[in-house]
Amino acid sequence: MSRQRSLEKILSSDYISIGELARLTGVRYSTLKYYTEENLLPFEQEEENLTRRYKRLESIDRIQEIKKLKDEKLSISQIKEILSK
Amino acid sequence: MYTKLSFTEKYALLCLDNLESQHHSTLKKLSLKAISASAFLEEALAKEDLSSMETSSFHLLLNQLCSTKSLSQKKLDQTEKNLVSILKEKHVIEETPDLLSCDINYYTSGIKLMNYRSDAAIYTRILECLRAEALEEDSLTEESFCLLWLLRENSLLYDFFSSLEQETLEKHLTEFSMKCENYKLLLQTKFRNTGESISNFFLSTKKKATENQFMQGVNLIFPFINRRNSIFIDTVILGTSSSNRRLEIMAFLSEHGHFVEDITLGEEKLLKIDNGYYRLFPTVRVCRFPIQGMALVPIYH
Repeated sequence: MSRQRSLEKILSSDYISIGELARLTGVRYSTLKYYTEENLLPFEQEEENLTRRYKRLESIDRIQEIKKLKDEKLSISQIKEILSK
Repeated sequence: MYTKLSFTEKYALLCLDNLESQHHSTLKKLSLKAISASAFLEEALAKEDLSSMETSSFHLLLNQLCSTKSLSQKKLDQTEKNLVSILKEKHVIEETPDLLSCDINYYTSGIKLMNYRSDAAIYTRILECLRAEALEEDSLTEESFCLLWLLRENSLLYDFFSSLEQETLEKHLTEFSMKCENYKLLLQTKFRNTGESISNFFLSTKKKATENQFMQGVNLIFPFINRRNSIFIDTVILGTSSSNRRLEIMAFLSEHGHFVEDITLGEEKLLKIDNGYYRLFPTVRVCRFPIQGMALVPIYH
C-alpha cells in the first residue's frame, strides 16, 4: 500500500487496516492495539510479517460494544468475559 | 467533515492546535513554513504518486519546498489568516483562551492569551491514523510519510511519539525511504534556516529536559524553566476534600473556555484538557503567605 485509500473506498471494502480503523472510529491507535492483543478485536493475518487486516463491520460493531460496556464501568477482564460468551 | 479536509488542512489542524494565535513564536513560524510547504506537497500528490514522479519534476518540487525557508513574516501571517479563516468556516478550529492564562500569575494580572484549538474528534482521527500507519509494520503510505516529514521539519514529530515509539518510527521511515529515490531525497530535505534550528534546538531541549518526573518536580518549584508546563491554579476553599478541589479546578477550567474531561487510567485519575492530558498535583505556592492549589502537569505519549 503506497497511497491512503479514500473514505469511500474504505467504506466499500470488507477488510481494513488498523490505521483505517482508527480513521473510521476515532479510537486511539494504542487502544486498538491493546484490544487486539487482548483478543477483543479479531483480525486476520496471512503470514506472520504481513499487515493485520480487520473485518470492517465486525470490528466497528465490536468497538462500539466495548465502548458501551466501558461506559457501564466494566473492567477489561469483565468485558472480555462478556464478549467471549 | 474529515473527508472534506485537504492534506494541508489536516496538517494545519495537527500543528496549529495549542499554538498561540495572537503572538509570533519560533514554533509558529516553523509551523507556518511547514504549512506553506504542505500546499506544494498537496498539489504534487493530487497529480501523481511521489514515487512515480520524474527526477526533474521531483527536484522542482524539492526546490519549492525549500523556498518556504525564506518566506517573510508578512507572507506567513497572510498564510495563517487565510488558512485559519477556511478552517473556522469548516468549524474545525477555534480560538480559545490559552491554558497558561488560567495560571494564578497570569489571570490575576489580567493577561489574556489565546490559542488555536482543533476539533478534538477530527484531531484524534488524523493523529491516530498517522500514528497507526507510522508504527505498524509495512503500513506507511505516501500521505503519512509526507506528514511525518513535515512534522519532523516543524519539530513536532517527537511530541506525538513516545521515546520507545520513536525507534520504531525511525526504522519505518528509513525502510520506506529505501523503496524509492524520491522518498530518500525528501527525507534528506530540510527547510529550516540555521537561526531557527539553533533556537528551536534550545527550546526543544529545554522542553525535553522537563519531561521526566524529577525535572517536572523541579519545574514546579522553578516555573521559569518551562513556564507552560508549570500551571498553578489556586483552590483555597476551607474544609473541602481533594475530590472537591478536583471538581473546583474542573469548573474553573470550564469557565475559562476549556473542554475538561475526567479520565481514569487504572488507579490513576487524569484530566483531558482540550487535546492534552494532565495530572493534577496538589501543591503550595509561597508568596507573602502560602497559597494552596493544584499544578497541572502535562503527560507525554
